[in-house]
Parts: sequence; structure tokens; C-alpha cells
Amino acid sequence: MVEWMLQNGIWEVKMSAPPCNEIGLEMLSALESFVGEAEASDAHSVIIYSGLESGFSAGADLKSLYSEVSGGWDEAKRGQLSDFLSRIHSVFNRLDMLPQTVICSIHRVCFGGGFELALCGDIRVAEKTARFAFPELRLGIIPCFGGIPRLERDIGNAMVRDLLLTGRSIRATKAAEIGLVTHVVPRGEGLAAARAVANQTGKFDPEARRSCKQFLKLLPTERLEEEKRVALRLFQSDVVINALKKFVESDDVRPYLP
Amino acid sequence: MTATEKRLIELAAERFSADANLLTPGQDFFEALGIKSIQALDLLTDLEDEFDIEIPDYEMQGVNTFAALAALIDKRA
Amino acid sequence: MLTLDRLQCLGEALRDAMVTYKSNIALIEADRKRESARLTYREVRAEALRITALLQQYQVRPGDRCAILMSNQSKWLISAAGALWTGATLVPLDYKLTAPEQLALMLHCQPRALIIEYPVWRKLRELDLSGLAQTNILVTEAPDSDTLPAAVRWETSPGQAPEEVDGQRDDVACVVYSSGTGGTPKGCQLTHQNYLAQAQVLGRMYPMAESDRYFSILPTNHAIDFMCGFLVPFLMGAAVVHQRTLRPQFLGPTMKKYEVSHMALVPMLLKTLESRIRDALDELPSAQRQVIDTLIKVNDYATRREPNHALSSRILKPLHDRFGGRLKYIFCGGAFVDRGPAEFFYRIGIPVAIGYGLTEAGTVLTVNDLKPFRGDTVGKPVQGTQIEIRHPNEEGVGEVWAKGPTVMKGYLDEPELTNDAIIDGWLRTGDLGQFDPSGHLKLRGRAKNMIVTEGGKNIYPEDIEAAFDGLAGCEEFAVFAANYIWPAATMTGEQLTAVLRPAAGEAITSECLDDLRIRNGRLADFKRVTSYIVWSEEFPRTASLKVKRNVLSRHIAEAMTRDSLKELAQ
Repeated sequence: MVEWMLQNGIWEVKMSAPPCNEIGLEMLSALESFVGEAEASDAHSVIIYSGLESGFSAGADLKSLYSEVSGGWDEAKRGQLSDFLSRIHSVFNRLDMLPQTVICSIHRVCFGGGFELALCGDIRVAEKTARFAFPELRLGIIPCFGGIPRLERDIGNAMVRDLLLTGRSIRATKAAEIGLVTHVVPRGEGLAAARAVANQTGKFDPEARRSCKQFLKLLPTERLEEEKRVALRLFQSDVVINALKKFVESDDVRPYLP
Repeated sequence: MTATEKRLIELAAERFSADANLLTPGQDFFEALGIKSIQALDLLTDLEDEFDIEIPDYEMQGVNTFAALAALIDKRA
Repeated sequence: MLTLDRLQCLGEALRDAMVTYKSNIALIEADRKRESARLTYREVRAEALRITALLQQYQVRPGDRCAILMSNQSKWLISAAGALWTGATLVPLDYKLTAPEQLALMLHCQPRALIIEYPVWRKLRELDLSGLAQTNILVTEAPDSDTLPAAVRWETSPGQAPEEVDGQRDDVACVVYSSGTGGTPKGCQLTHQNYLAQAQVLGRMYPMAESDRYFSILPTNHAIDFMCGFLVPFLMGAAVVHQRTLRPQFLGPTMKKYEVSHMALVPMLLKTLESRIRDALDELPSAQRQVIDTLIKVNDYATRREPNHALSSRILKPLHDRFGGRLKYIFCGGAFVDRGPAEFFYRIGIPVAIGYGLTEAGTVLTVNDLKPFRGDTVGKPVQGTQIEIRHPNEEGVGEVWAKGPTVMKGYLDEPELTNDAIIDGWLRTGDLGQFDPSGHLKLRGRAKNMIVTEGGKNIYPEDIEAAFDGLAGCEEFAVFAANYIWPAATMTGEQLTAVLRPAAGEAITSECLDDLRIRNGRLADFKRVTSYIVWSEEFPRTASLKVKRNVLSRHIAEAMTRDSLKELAQ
């Protein structure tokens, strides 16, 4: 599922939940456990990467979500969804603000919630095969794991609008052009590059490094809360259930393509 | 076949370990290569890098053959 | 689901509940010597109404104060309900205070009635009670041999029928003293609104089923137990278990026998319980021990996500069985909670919900919702309550201020103290804290000159100073919380420090230190000074000659580091 190991001051977090590291309750709990350990440790870096061939993460666990809501929405289910989103936001916020330098190594699919996870990192290394997308509009919702404020924090608004309003995917090279990732490396070289970044950042005085990160990176708290509210409101419509149904029941010739 | 179609087929064959000689422009590339959408994205990346263009993936709607894909590339080159 | 918005007062809420849940068990009293007594809600109502009538027979009118002074037992809750139905204001007093301390508080609030248990009365009546001439005393379980001059037996049948009087939301329901160690008594006036709002929030976050059992270990005069071990269970039709002779070795068997599902503890008791469990584990033959260790690891893995009580109690059945196997939650607060014990319990399948509150603001301002379990925070502000961190430093640590429906009306008869504490509707908690990225509050120190013992007692250094009046060879003297002088971003390592200015000359005499040691020894151990420093400058004082503590502590911090503290041999 998710394993993490501390060596030489670097936490290496490897996600291996087939088919493509979908983010549901299990992934959430694992991240919560990891973050608690990281916060208490004096490691200098964290590397998050995927041990799966299929990619970094395809996003929220839509199959579970669909099975939860296919019976229809009610007060209790809305409460559960709201709780789930709050927990995701909490753990993503803590990840975002960890004292360590967080490096994400991304290959192939990095969509939706997975993209939102990658946006919690401080430095992103992408293999040439990486593709980034926010396809949420196809499901009648918006990214609700905190992705929008974090994307706004990192890249220009024109590109934010293009990605969100078209739902299209962009490749690593393009991502580097717009400043979304700062390293593009050949296929298979992501982890090595991430380790090099980690070793470099680990050379400096920890207090100075931590203060520097804290000064540079602000948590857009109000925007994050607003995003959650808007997402919850949209979730209540039938459009969402129908779209989920279509996604879940497809025999996948094209679901990753629009 | 056009130069674009030829290059496209070469890249696809390389990416998916297929025999380029067995691929023709009129074929549906999902079927011919035995791939699904996630791998089609890999092909897209290769093409974007190779031709130094951007192909918004929504333009892939209705594009199933190598020929159609090559036409898409040509439009952008 | 508790909906208390339309209720006017605690009396009404309790009455409604008791009538609704009539045949449910309300109270269970366990004692190793005798069989347990069980009372249904119907029976509790009948007894409590008798107390209402008795109190009214002894002139208790709406708005009068009624003090209760007894150890945990059914009679406490029955008396409290009975008193509330007269429209009186409850004053729950700490039976563990010394008799003079109890007297001082009662002289301050002048109750019309005092409901007291016999052993405590025996000590109290030896003092001069002329200042309580207006107070009618009802004594529980007095032996026949004692004629009880100046008091009435609690068990007396009243000569009239009870007349229930309801208060309004804004009326004061209870006056709860937040420190009983001398100095100016701070009686927090908590309204019906304060209690109902708190009960509603807690009842929704941690609802109790009618079959649930709360084990009341903390004294019911304590804010946590008053809420979790009286109001919430009663309003939800559950039962409260009291154990009269409360010794650690009987905790387990009682929990098992009565299938306890909920408990609230202060950190000290949490640690005690943890070490008991660890001791029990250590005593197991090594094969069994290994099995349990493995099971704990399995449970750990299985519940990394969130508490799964059903799963945990299956995996760790042998361990849970020792405690009855039904324990769902332990609430912990009242003092700083170490993450170690909290995480230990979580690992064996019992989630500890850590919360934070002040007497001045009900039971909890913030509490963990266990989604997921966190041992390193005191949780998020409860619904309806706002928390602000004021004047944060670069780290984001600042003073915690709170606003909400559970903040008290003010201190009884102390307008100045009240105005110091509540400004524009915001309560100054005097604690330092910061929010972490997930919105959880972390406490980081104290802004006020005070320490809190592990047992949850607030100790104000100024109050200790009285014990050292006229210290030999000492010109001036003050007591400080060491963390107040040298703020550390932590709630641990709290200790009391004496600042001594010797008379004539610079050195401190051995006579002075001896006197200090002797007087110190007379104090209860949690009130003792454990270190001292010698200061040669005159203490800065106000026009009224009170020591300017903030100025003095700043001067000291500038002149020396915490290492300069000299240990005071005990």
C-alpha cells in the first residue's frame, strides 16, 4: 500500500496501491500516519513517489466514491463526504507545511487528486512520461483536495484556467515551461534525481532551511476552505452520480482521455 | 503514407514494441497496438516531444486511426 | 441527537430526560464491601424531588446558592438535580480541599444550603462557622449516634411537597471555583446556556447510547465530570457508574463488571492506567506476552486509519476483556496531556480524545474528533466556539483567546477580575498556543503565572506566597512559575520557584533556607517550591505596593538563564 522509510535524513514514501494509487480511505490513513511521524522527526527531506508502473496517482478513488453514493445522497452520506474532505485537507495541509523539504517524483499519470497531492510538495521532479491534468469538470465537480489554491500559488492564472476549464492533460516538458515542475528527467530517473535534490537541501543548517521554507510557503487557508465548500455544493447534483457511473462502468478504452 | 504518418508509426511501434511493418495508417491504433487510454497518453507525450507541439488531448475526440492522428499533428506543426 | 436549543434551563432538561428514560438505569454505585445499588431514572427523580422539597422547607428560594461537598456517589447527582429544581444556583465544591479552604469559599458565596457528606462535615464543623449562619446544612449518611447539632439529615422526609422552579437560559446555573488554594476565590458563574450549549455539542460529537455506561472517576465538582458524568449521560438516557472506594486496583474489575463504555481522566490517571496495563502485560508468561505484542502490532496496522473499536476489541480480546471489552472512549483533559500514554491506548484499540478547556468556559473549548486520532494536539474548536491566537511570534505561537456560548458570565462578585479576563466578549485563557496546518490547536506554554498539576489542579504562585510570610533573613519574597520567567514552548517542566531578596548584605543565610524548607514541607506536595534564586535588587512595585510580576520576571530573565535556578532540597 504505502511504505515509508527513513534513511540518511530522508523519508522515502513509496505509494503502491494498484491500479494507480487512487486516494480513498486507506491512502488517507496511511498519509495521516506518515505525516505524524514526519512532523516528529528531524529528517531534512521527504520524497514521495510511486512504485507502480501506471503512474504517480490517478486521483480520488472514484470506484469507492461511486459505490458509496450510488444508492443516492442523504444527510448521513453528505456528512461522511464532508468529513472525508476535511480529513484530506487536514493531512494535505500538514504535508504542505512539513518542516522537511518535500520532493515529489512523478511519472506517467498525475491526475486530479494525485495532482493535488503532488502540489503539496515543495519541489517536483517529473520524468518525461509524466502528464498532469485536472479532469474534475468532466465529473461535474471541481478539484476538492486543495488543488486549486495550491496551483494558483505556483503557476500563472492563465494556465490555471486553461487546465481547469478544459480538463486537458499536459506533458512534463510543458509543465516545466510553465513552472509547475522544475526538473524533467528521462524515464526511470525520477527517484535518483529526487534523492540528489534531497541530499543537496539536507546540507544546510536545519533551522535556516526550515525558516526559509516557512517564510516562502504560505497556506492559503481561506481559499482552501472555500474550495471545499464549493465542491460539496456541486457534489449534491445528479450530474455527479451519472458521471461517476459512466466512469466506473466503462471498460476503459478511453476514460483517461476526454 | 505521409512523412508524419511514417514517423508516427515508427514511434508507436517503438513505444509499444510492435512491428512497424504491420501497422498501416488506416488502422484504429487502440486495436492495432492493443492499448488503452492510459497508454495512448504515453504516445501523445512522445508525439508532442518529437514534433515539439502541443496536442490538447480533447482534440483526440473522434481520432482513432494513425491517419487522423497524423493529420492532427500536421495541423499543429 | 441532543437538541437543547428550546430548553430554558438544566432543571427542565434533566426533568424531561428523567421522564423520557424512566425505566433506564441511571445510576450504579459499586463498592467492594456492599452490593451495588442501582437506580432507574424514575427512582432518581423521586429521590431528587424529595431533596427539592427538603431544601424548600429550609428556605431555599430561586436564585439562592446551594453548595455540594461530597465524594463521587449517586447522592451527588441526586442532590444536584434536586437543588436545580428549586431554581437555586449550584456551587459544586471540591471535597479534597482542606476544611479551611472549603470554608473560605463558602464565606465568599454564602450558600443558603450546604449538602455535605458526614466525613467531610466532621472536619468542617470543628472550625468557626459563625460566618455561615445563613446556611442550612444537610448531612448524608450520618450515623444514628451523632445528634448532628446545627445540621439536618439528608435522609429526612420533607414536610411539604416540592415546587419545581425553572430558571432562564441566562441565569447562573452553577458557580464553580477555579482555584481553591487561597488568595481571591474565583467563582466562575456558568449559566444554563453555557451548560446546555456545551452538552449539545458534546452530545453530538460523542453521542451516548442508552446502553452505554460512564465510569465516574473524576470528582463530579470537576467541570469534565459534571458534563461527561452527569449532564450528557442523563440527557441521553445512559447510566453513570460510581465506585466509592476508588483504588487503582479496583478500576479494572469494576470496568469489567459494569461494562463501562466511557471514561474521563486527567493525564495523571491516564498514566496510572497505562502503567497498570503494562504491569499486567509484564506479568504474563512470556508466550502469552509475545502473542499480545504481536496482536498489538496487528491492531496498530489495522487501525492506522481510524479507530475501529469492533475490530480492535476482537484482535485484542484478551486485553480488552480485562476492562470489560466495552470501553469505547477515554476523554482526557484538565492538564497537559503527554502524547505517549494517549498513543499507547490508541494502539491497544482504545481511542483517547484529548480536549482543552477552562472552568471559565465550560468543559471544552477544543476537542479532538478522532478523525483521525491525534495525540499531539488538543483538537479543533468545538462548534460555536471561536479561538484566536493573538500577538503570534514568528512561529505562530501566541495567546489563546476564546469566544462562544460556553464562556462564563463572569467571576462572582469580582468585577475587576472579570474585566481582566473577558474583554469584548473574548475570554483571555492565559495559555499560549498555535494552530497547526490541519486546524488543530497545540498548546505551547502559559502566559499567566500559574502551573497546572498532572491532576489538573491550578496552582497560582501568588497564593503560595502566603505560606512564606515573614521568612527569616529575607527582605522580599515572591513565588513564580519557572516557565513564566523563562518561557519554554512546552507545557511540561512546570515548577514553582522562589525569588529571594536577602536582608542586609548579598548572601542568603542558611537560616533563611532552613526556614524556607520547613515552611515548604508543610504544604501539600503539589504546592511546594522546588527551586530558588537570589535577587539583590528591590522588587518593582505598584502604587499599592503589589509586586509588578511581569517587570520583575523580565528583569530576572534578562539577568540570568534558567540554569541559575538552585534546587531546594525537600
